[in-house]
Amino acid sequence: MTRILLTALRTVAVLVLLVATLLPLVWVVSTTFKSNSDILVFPPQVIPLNPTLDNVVDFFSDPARLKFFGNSLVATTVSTVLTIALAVPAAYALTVHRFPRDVGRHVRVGFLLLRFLPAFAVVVPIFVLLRQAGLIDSVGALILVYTAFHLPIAIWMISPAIAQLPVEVREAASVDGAGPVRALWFVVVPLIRPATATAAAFCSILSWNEFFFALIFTNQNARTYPILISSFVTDSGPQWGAIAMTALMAIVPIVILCAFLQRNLVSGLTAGAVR
Amino acid sequence: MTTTLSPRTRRTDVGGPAPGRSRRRTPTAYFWMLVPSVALLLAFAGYPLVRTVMYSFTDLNAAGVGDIVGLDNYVRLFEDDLFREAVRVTVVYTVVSVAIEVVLAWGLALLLQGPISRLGHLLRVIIAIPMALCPVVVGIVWRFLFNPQYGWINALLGTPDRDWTGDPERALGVMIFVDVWAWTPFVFMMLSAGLLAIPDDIKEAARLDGANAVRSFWSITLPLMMPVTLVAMLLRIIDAAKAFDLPYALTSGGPGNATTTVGIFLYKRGFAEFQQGYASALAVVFTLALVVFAVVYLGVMRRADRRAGL
Repeated sequence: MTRILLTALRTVAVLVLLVATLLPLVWVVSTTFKSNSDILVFPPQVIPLNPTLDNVVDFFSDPARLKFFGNSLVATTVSTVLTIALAVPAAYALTVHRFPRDVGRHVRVGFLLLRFLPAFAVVVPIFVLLRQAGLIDSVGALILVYTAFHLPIAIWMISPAIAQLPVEVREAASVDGAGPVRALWFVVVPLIRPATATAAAFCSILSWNEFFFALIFTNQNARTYPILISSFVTDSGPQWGAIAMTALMAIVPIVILCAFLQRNLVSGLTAGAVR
Repeated sequence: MTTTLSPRTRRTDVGGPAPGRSRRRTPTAYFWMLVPSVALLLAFAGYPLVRTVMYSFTDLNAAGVGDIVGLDNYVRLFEDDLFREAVRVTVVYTVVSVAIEVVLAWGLALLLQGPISRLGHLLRVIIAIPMALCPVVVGIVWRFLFNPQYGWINALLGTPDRDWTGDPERALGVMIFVDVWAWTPFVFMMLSAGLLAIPDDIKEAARLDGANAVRSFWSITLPLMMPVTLVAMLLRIIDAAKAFDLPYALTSGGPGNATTTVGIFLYKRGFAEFQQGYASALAVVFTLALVVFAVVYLGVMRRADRRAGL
């Protein structure tokens, strides 16, 4: 009897969880394929009665929205590549080499603390710096900032993978006469590909979603996709289909990355905080 | 900077590689692998942090001009009623959201514990989606779901024309609800991993010693799960206290100041009104508060760790 009750409870919990999770996603997909007259109906239809592709077509013929989408794509891709290119050698050096005077340990702790640094604690000086360098409203500024802020997370995600490599593997490389650089490139990098891919996916999600810095450091030219979405904040009726389509385009890449990350998502969010 | 971090203890020749003595050259390679990252972080985190503290004693404005005004910004901050209101909103939002998330996640983790089937795995991927979505997108979508005339929430609840985000009484509740929606899965996943890590033989031994399910939960599961629960809570508290994107997209801090968190308040002062000196003082106070909180919290956590015998 208790077993049946428990199973029923479980099923109910899972169903509630699924419905609650998927409701906004269903709204986005449903509204994307509705015409305006169908959106402004009460009670609303979950499945569009007269599905239309108008909103999709509008999106791909709108140069402004495509441009912001492109900005986000460029900022995300370039900063992720840069982050990984810097994080892998740094993680390798910190893991393998014992720096004198415990420098390595201090650097590691410093990186961990940066995970908790609120963005507002540094945003004003960075703004002033970027203004002096003439980089305000450029995608380059965003790439720099994203790379710097996502580096610690990438290092924390990649280090354990390097630490878990058997010592013999690295020793074999140095016996064969490879220096640290060649050992890193020819031995370590190929072996830690899964961890690198996870860190890259994670940094991509963070950059793709980033809002605060993008809002402050851009105004016209280099606006990113989340800024565009937040500018739809008028509750006026006729735009709903356009908003849903715009949101859908922001969600699709994330869902793909999520499926790729699966169980590693939480380990990235807690990077370094859990032993 | 390079001199302070120099990895060589005995400096001999500085220029050029020493021929044939690979052992002395090794550290420099590792050193150069680390330098770019450290330099970038010093430039974009270390230096700005110091500058923020310096700016907080000036009246820096939009033109980038600031005179030193001493402690004026701090005095003004502690007399600012709007700031006090923002702190209240942030504390309520953080405490209530995280409390609900932990309770819900605990319930779910206990209900759904055990080995994970293929279906369970797919389920985990699906419920992980909300935390990976852009908070701005989440905010906007929920804003429309809560729309008084055509929103799905009113249709579901059968409450036509009820205003949610436009009503100061309800707006903060809506924000808490959306935060719970987005972050309960994260806490749930951490707790599930924690439950899986509890060795079966301990529970088995307790059962043989005649402990019933309640007793076993109270004396084994709960103390062993304390550390992971506390870590999840710390991560959530710090992130919720910093909230900016979600309130910005969901309610823009309104109506009135009902959902103006410290993050929104800082943005308005620093980048809508360009009182950057004042905003810097605010950032300093806020960062210090977070640091103090985290240090105290970690102290409590260490005691809990010891009690769990880890």
